[in-house]
Amino acid sequence: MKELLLYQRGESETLIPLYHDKIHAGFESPAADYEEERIDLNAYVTKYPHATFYARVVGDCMTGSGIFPDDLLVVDRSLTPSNGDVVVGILNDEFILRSYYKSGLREYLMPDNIAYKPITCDSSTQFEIWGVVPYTIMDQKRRIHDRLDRLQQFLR
Amino acid sequence: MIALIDSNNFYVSAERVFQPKLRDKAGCVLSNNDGCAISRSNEAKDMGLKMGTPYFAMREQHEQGLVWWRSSNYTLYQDMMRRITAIVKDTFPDQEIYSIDECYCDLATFGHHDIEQVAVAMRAKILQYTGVPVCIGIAATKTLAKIANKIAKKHYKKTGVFLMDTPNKIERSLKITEIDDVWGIGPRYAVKLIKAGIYTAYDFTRLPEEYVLKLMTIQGRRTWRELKGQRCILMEYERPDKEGISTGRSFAQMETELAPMEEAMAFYVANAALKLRAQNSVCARLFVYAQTSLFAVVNQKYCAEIDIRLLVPTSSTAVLIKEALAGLQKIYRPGFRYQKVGVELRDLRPDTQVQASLFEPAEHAIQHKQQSALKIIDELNSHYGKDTVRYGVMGFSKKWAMRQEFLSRKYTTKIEDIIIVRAY
Repeated sequence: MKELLLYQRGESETLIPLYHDKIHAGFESPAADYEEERIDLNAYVTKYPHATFYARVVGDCMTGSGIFPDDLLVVDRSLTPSNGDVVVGILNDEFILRSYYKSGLREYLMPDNIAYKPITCDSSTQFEIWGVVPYTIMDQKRRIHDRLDRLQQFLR
Repeated sequence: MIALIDSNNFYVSAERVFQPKLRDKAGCVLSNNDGCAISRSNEAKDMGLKMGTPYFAMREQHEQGLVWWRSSNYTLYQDMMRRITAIVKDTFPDQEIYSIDECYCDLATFGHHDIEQVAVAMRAKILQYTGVPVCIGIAATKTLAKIANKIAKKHYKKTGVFLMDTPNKIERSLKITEIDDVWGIGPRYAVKLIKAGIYTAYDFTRLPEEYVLKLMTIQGRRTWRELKGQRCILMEYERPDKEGISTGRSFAQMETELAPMEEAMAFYVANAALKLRAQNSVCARLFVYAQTSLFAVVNQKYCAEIDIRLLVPTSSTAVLIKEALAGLQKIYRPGFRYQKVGVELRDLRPDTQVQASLFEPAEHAIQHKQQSALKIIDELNSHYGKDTVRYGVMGFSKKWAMRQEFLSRKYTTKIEDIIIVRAY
């Protein structure tokens, strides 16, 4: 069922409706009863939308976890961090991305790239967890040139 | 019991969630046009910075780095408010959103629970999920809940919750509540009462009911009864469909020419029309006004308004802009320095009730076509950003626009504005 408006151009500039009604064309779709909601990516990556925020990555200390510069982070504040979680924390008034690791009373902010060193958090450091990152989104189109370079090496 | 959930220094708290460097420092959020402080951090309050302190009075402290400030970022606050009220609703479903930072909840269905414990847990949840601290006051009536909330804010900072449930607690609370802090008692009555030796809410409840009625009419008696624990102010769950939609703001600087005022007016009408369509309504009347500053010298003062009746009720941006601009042209007088123009859409009706005017059947058909065009425009604008598709008169200069020099980003509603996280 679609609403359709047909017009005929008359002498003047005014449009005169020729036919104006709901048109019932043919039989109703046999699949109408089977209609379901389309897959909703939001529902998949956000468990609790009211506690979910988004963030952008600058830097490469988490490349081992597959997180690259300019990637989009889903940050869920309803989750409590477990060892090994990727977290957004606040360190010295700045948002920082690392992996969380707690051992005894010590908390560590661990990079996932051997070029970086772990950060130890104790009572003297101003540190807190801002949220846990359950999913990340990468723009594959933007990485096309890097990828082409690598592909060409294969063929050589 | 009724709970009042109130965000602490809401605008300041919302800014701090996304700007950690603002935490633990004195600062404030400024009013429209960056006029004066309307939300202050606790540190700013401790410094003696008063509500409504004009921007220029804080300039020196700002330059010395003692006070930070931000323009009001209502887009951000509105989204944070939506998050908080949704979390509250998960626990207390009978909710009335009273203002951008307050909501009342009726806890009648919560009889068998430990309300205090539930409230403490909910407060912790709101703080964790959104980063915004709230306080919760629980008492028998709305007026008492307001007092309980203030006490929670002042004396129960750790849990942020105060349950005012026993006669003893109520009496102690009323005794430390000054009369001018009672919800429903305006400044004029407060002065009267203080003159009569009524200093606290407790003193007020000791007055005979007839005396209160004589002195302050039924409004005063209602407050008196509420303080005594009788519910007089009921919960308002469904906000009745707004009676009118109004938009209009002060210009960044005074305007003398018609053109920039028309541009501003077109913007306001477009915004109002969008709201109108969002609630599936049309309007039958337009109220357009223009005014100079209230503080202008007598013979430079001018204020005019015009009420326009539409032949066919509509929500069409084009029609409404046309009518509003025609109205503005009628009331505009050259030679004045205008401070503000605005528009109110009135006589709202559901859009299903629209009847074409008897004399203009063709109009109806055109409107129908416009309706679908508008739907597309609304969709484009919600997808690509407000006012991407706009009417020519709205222009692009926006010189008249509100001053917001210290505006933070739209961290939660615009993908280009999300927080940046350091991974190096």
